[in-house]
Amino acid sequence: MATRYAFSLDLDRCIGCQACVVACQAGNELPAGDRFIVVSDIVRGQAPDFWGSFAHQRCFHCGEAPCVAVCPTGTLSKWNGLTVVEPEKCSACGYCTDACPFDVPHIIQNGVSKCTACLGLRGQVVPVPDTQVAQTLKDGHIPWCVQTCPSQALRFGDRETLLTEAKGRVAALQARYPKAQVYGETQLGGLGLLMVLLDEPSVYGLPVDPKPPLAQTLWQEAVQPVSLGLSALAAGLMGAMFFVARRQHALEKAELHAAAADAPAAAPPSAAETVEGKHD
Amino acid sequence: MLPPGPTGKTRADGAREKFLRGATAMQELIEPMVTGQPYPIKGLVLYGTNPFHTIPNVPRTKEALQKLDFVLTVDVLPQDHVAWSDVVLPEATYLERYDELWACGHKTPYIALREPAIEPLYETKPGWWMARELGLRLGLEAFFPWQTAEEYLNRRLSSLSLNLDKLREQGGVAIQKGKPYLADFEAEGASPFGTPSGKVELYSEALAGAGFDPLPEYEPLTEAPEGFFRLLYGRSPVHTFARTQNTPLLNQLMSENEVWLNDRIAADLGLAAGDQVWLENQDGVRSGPIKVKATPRIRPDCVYMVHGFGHEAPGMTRAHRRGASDAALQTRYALDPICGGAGMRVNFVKLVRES
Repeated sequence: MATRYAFSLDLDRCIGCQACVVACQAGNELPAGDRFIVVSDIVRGQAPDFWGSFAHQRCFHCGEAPCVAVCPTGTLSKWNGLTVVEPEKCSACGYCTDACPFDVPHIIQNGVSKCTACLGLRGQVVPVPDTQVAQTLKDGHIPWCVQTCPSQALRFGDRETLLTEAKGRVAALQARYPKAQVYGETQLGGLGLLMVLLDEPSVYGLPVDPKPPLAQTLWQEAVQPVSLGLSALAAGLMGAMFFVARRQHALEKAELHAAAADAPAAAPPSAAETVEGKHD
Repeated sequence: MLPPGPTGKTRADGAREKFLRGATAMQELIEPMVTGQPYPIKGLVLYGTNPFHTIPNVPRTKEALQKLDFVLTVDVLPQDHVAWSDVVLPEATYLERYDELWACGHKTPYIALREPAIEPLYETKPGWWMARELGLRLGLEAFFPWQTAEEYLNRRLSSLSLNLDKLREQGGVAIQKGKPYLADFEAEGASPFGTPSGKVELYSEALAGAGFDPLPEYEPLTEAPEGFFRLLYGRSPVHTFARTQNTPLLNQLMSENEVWLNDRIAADLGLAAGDQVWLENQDGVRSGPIKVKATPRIRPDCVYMVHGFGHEAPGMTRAHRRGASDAALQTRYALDPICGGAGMRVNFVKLVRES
């Protein structure tokens, strides 16, 4: 079985320097104003007794990714655990932006923009053929953010290994932070970005049980099947109406011929021929 | 007092007179430039420093620059002080030039190569080239017995049986074993600490001998006057000093600074996050407009701002007049009588709502 790749982010080690943000923008040559990572401050309490941490908003590479499920053009797909992008397929419909429970993909310059674990620059075909990517990863492919992180808060590699490590970190951290936990072990088919949190997910603005929006679920499970049925019904009715109309038309034509035969002076035969020719 | 330095001359910055010892105290050179005491200063070469952002009391610095016969500035950016220079030599950036070897005498010492990735753009030249060309024209050929930076660096590296090619082969860094542990010194019967006791000294006989408190005691600070806050400043991890605010990616990430104000105080003052205010210090000096950041992270009697913003130079196109300058509000400072450092968190500001 193919390796399931993933990121891990240890928020006890993150120092909020945003080097990951800049390395990602520079390394992926993102257009001005675009970015794949947003880091923000979390503060609780009042000086001098306060607690602070950093929240990261970036692609979680969900195991069962709502963006992939909703993408009508195949731009977004899963590859060895990562949610990758083939930008040349994108129609900029924006379904993924509505579907993502973490508000991650966005449309910039008529195309979807989000983290692809640095599997190719924006504008290139991603993923490249599997063998080639596998080779790249084997040769030590490390996304820019992970390469740059000065406090080793970010990691990339085999998801099972990272999960074991993350659990070990949580066990060690619970002495100081009783609510420390791994986020992403099971949510949405298991996330491809495992976060070591120091507190409840809500403190970091993360949903405990992320789900695609109800509208999307309704759309995919109710509206789409029903509309498919309705479309089929409409097509059937169209067919039936075609035969009815054709029969009606044949009858009208016969009546016209009969009228022409009854009154040859009023309508010359050449005119009747023309009409007939047009209709055939 | 320490004895005079090797030359026996008085130093303009007051080392050994106004303060005990240490490297040059840059801010102490401003008064001698203005007054000509203890001796006249005629010229100044500014290389890689922005005096309007690093030296307190900017108006006095401008006065000093006007007194000088000659100011030469070497910089990679069209910073504020560049317009105050007689001659400007635009330097190639660090990605376009060789620099001196980066030699770190840490407990694990290393030498790192600093070499160009691309040729210099526009009419810029590397600093070493400027120094050499100026030296040759000033009759200082003896100090430049080399033609190129490569030649100079190879000569330096030869003492380690290295050269540029070999250093590049090993990744640009030569690391020595060093003596990172106390045991490394103990094995030699030596101490890593240059103190009389050979230990970390909490009580310093050397300081006592020089007339200072051998065990410094806490001295309470002056409280902020009514309606004022103590002005603190510091760094953001995004920016380095006053020199990266115009860098596109970093400017995009943080294009201006904010004045941090305790959230409860902000509420009392009727100020909300994002409100625009002006800061006015105890001497009536006023900053440019700056946005309020109401936060529980700061104590109620202080305000804080990230250093390095409020660039006045129009050439700093992205950073021009974005945020406010802390340095402009630091009209006062306290001199550390031991090392000559400038303590600049001794200024007080009030928040003003209209310009």
